Amino acid sequence: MSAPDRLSPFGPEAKPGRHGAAGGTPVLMTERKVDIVQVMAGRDANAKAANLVKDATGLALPGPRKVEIAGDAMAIWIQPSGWLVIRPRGEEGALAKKLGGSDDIAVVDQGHGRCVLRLTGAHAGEVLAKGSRVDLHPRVFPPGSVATTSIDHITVMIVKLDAVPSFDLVLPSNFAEAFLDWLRMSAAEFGYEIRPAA
Amino acid sequence: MTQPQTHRLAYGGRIDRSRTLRFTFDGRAYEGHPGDTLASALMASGERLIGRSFKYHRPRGIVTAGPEEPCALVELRTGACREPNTRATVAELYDGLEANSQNRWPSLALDISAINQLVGRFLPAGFYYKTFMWPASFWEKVYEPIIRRAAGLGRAATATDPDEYESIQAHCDVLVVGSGAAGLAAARAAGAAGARVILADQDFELGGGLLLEPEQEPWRQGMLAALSGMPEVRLLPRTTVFGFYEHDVLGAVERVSDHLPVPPEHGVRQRVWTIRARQTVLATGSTERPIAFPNNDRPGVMLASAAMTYVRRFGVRPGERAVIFANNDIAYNAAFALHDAGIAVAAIVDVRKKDSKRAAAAADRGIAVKLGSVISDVKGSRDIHGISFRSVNGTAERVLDADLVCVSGGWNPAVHLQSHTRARLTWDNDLAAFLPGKPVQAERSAGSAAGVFGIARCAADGAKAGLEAAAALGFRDGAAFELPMPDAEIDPKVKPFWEVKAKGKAFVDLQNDVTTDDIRLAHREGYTHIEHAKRYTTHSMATDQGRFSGILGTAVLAEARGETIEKVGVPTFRPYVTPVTWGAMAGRHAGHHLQPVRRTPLHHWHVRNHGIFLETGLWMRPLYYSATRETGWDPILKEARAVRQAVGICDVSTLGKIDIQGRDAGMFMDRLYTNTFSTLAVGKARYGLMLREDGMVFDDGTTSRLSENRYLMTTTTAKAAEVLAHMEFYHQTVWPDLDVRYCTVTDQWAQMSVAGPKTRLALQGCVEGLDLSNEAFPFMGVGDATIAGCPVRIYRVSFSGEMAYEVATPAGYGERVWEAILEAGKPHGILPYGLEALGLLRIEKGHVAGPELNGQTTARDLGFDKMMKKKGDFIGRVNGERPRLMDSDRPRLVGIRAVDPSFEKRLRGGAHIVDRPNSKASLGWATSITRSVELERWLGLAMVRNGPDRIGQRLYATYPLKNEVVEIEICSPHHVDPENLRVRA
Repeated sequence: MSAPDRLSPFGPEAKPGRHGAAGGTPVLMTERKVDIVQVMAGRDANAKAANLVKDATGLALPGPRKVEIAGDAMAIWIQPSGWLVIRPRGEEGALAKKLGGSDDIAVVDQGHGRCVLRLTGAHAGEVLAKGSRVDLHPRVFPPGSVATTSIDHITVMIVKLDAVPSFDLVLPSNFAEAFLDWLRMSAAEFGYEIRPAA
Repeated sequence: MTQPQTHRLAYGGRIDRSRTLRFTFDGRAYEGHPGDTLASALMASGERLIGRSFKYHRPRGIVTAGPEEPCALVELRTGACREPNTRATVAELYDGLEANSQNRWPSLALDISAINQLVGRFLPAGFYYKTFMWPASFWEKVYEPIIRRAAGLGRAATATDPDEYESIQAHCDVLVVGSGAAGLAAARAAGAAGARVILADQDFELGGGLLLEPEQEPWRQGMLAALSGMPEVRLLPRTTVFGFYEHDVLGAVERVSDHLPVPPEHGVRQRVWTIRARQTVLATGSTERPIAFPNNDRPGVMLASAAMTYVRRFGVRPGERAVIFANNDIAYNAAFALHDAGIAVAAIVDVRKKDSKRAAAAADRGIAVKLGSVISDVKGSRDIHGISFRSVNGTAERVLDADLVCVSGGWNPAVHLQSHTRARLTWDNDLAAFLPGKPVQAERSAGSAAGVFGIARCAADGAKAGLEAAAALGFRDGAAFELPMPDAEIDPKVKPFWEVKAKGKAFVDLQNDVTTDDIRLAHREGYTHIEHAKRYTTHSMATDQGRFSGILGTAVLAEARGETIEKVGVPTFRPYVTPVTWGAMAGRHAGHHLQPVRRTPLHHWHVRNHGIFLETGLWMRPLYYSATRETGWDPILKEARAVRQAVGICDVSTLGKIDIQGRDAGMFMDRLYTNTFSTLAVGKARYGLMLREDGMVFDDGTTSRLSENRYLMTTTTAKAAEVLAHMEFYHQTVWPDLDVRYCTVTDQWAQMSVAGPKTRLALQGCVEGLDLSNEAFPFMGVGDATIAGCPVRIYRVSFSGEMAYEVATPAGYGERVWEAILEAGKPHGILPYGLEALGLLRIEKGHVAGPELNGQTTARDLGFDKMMKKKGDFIGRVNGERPRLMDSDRPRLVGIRAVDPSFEKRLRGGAHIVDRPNSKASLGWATSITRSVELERWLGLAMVRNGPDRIGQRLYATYPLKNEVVEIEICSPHHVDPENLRVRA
């Protein structure tokens, strides 16, 4: 079914625009309009889950601490035999429905419970370093890596996309506004731009 | 009028004479130049008296040129930005700086408390502790007020700090602490090998001792240029590494904007760095140490290296006529630097008897060298005008005119960071100093921090350390680089000499006013261990933590004990190496940023519609709604009446929600809950009770069966995360064989409870795709539908005791669904209700919540005996049946009602239940209390001994703190609809 537009979990203050220090290279922040489904495989069902996800999305399921990226879609390893499958937003609930699930593969729609913020720009790593103790240096954390960390007491999944660097941050939606509040303070010295959700 | 820079040299130094910076000290106007510290700028204007000492209020001046300064402490900035105890020697000068002296009244020049000097013999070391001993009656009335008034140095600001602070995490292969010759070389060697390097130095200019050597400037600049060109090398000036912690974690504070009048817009004042370094090179240098002699604290007595620094780096004349007092050759450098700057050097008083090349060089310059001599007194108070000296063993004193005394008792390698790792220091006889010991963590010391002296030797040592650190991590192919030109050969050996015994106070701790005699007193009174002597005398407890002169106290104690300094040791060095402000420590986590705010998907609707919020954990929940922000019961009663008489809607999105799937999901539920879920029909919900292993009630909530092998559990708001962790624990450690998967979906759903006799009518106006009639959708039914085009799941469960439906929708549609229900309910008198009305309704209905589920109540205590399944095991069954827990005399849940049907005499949560108005024998306590809209009186729930057997009894609720006694009747907890008919209507 097609549902009406949803409210952004980042709250009414997250209006597009340039903020913080002027000049220099701003950090760009974009809420990603995506569907998110959590897939958890039972005992000996990893291969079955991989096939399920491959058939539904074309994505391979990555191993520990890795992310499989294909265009706008990705599969993130989140725990043993557990992944988040993320792709551009389609019909409400359609991705979960397509993945279906079975007695040994749990499929849980998290499209509203999690949200994704893309952070890109030369200073993006420095901004995250103000909250996370994960070493984001390319030698340690190359593109295609993921780590779950705590930033300002909020559980955040950091996905490294490229060498810019760009990151997709997967957040619990109830904390999205609080996280953005922290992020804006931390990025202010470099300047930042909130982009329209895409 | 601006004070003229009477003591500024015409040329030389690293200051920019083309620019002038204005500042004030104690309200007087001064000027200095970029490159100055507050200390050097005050000295340039001839200021000697900077502060007063802690105990005796003796006049004090500038003693060092670095972070170990014990005396020249000031209050920097004013108002909310005031920073007490700032060392003027490291405060970088900026235009508009305002500083004030501290610990003086009414003024720096005339300080009344200086009278303490005269009564000093009544204020011995340990005075504070002795006041505890006798007479006891003096403590509160006499000693405490006096000590409180006298205690402390500067005044902390009381207003909120307007500046911002932050923290940052950093990782590197090699951290180099200190940017002198050794540090620069270590950083370059490691950087060239390919390692990720951080080079931190507390100074605003990188170079350490190189900053005093103009002929080495090209090398310094070349090194900085090379380091700046390395992408993996990060230079952090103005950054003090303050602690070396477990697992090679180091802490540092960067003074980002302290050199500016105010931080730039969007900038922070200070930033705390947490650095995880795989290897650390400690190139922290060494600090000169003084010698104890009478009046060695007078303004104008300073370290020889400090005098040299003021001349060479800051282009300031620290005095007009100097005497050098030393026990080593390096100190002659200071004499020559002063001499080169045109300052008269009256004499070098050298403890050593033997003639040396350096003494000859001094003689060539026409400087008198008094070999085998010591300074036995300093003449003058606020300003000095001469010294007495005599031969080491003699008594015949001679006098010299001088206004500057430069002291050198040798050098202490800065071993503090290494000591933080609990590495044991080693003693070096030649240097008469403690050196870094065998490393405990991945670190090495280099340069003068390791007892190596001379620029070129330090650089070579640093390069070696940098290479080794990099090689230890596999970075081996670095390009070699040029080292500085060789130094003049100067023997760093010192003749150990610590104290001149003569009449007068000789200080071993200048900030805390500890004298050589105080240390001896401590020894006589039994405080013979260095750590005890430290605490008894407060020696080494000042802001410099003994870095300046701690070893003097050790030397005096060693002599008193008749043992070596090596044996006595120095007090353990602990973080922080230099003081760090609380602002920096707090970082962003101040005020409302202490914790993140958790918002429900309906948060902004509540904000727009006058919700009055309550913080519950991290959540913000509307207590009630009031456009006029009225207080009291009226808005709460109005909302509750709407639910009892018409219909209300409440945001319950905060409830924990856990999606559970798998073949063994039902069995998992059966073991987690006291009651059975594997028999629950698909499309139905059931109330469940969970116990802890010890048999106490853990959590409750309704769980629905969505399909054969899929359940949706709800938990209380408070226990949501704990329940999930509880499930993980049992699944991973106790029942790993269960084929089940689960995850939180709390954030996925906006959930609202719609309750009241007109609920069905209201919902029928907006729900599509589900027959809500009692027959088609009875109590505890679960079904999918749509509202306003949004998918919803509807659960027919009730917390209020009224006919109720909980509507869940994906979070992003929350507001739309909420508003659609409000619209449909409008003709039926719908009102949104908040947490207060929710509480009122559940107390009336007798549903337990946090106050009853307090971790000390069993299922039986709460009247849930029937929910304990007879067949099959569950968590908490065995321990919950322990005999003592089955005792009928335990406090058990009942309802209580005020006998008086008015609201005159209120009940309070926490009130004790007693059988006579003045009884002190408590039978239990009131857990939850409310005004009732149904019964129009105060009522509540209580835990009362043998409670259910007391139903019908008249007892009293007493609240002695407020002197209240209210007559009550014990009743069933279910004040409303005990037959539970309304929920099934």
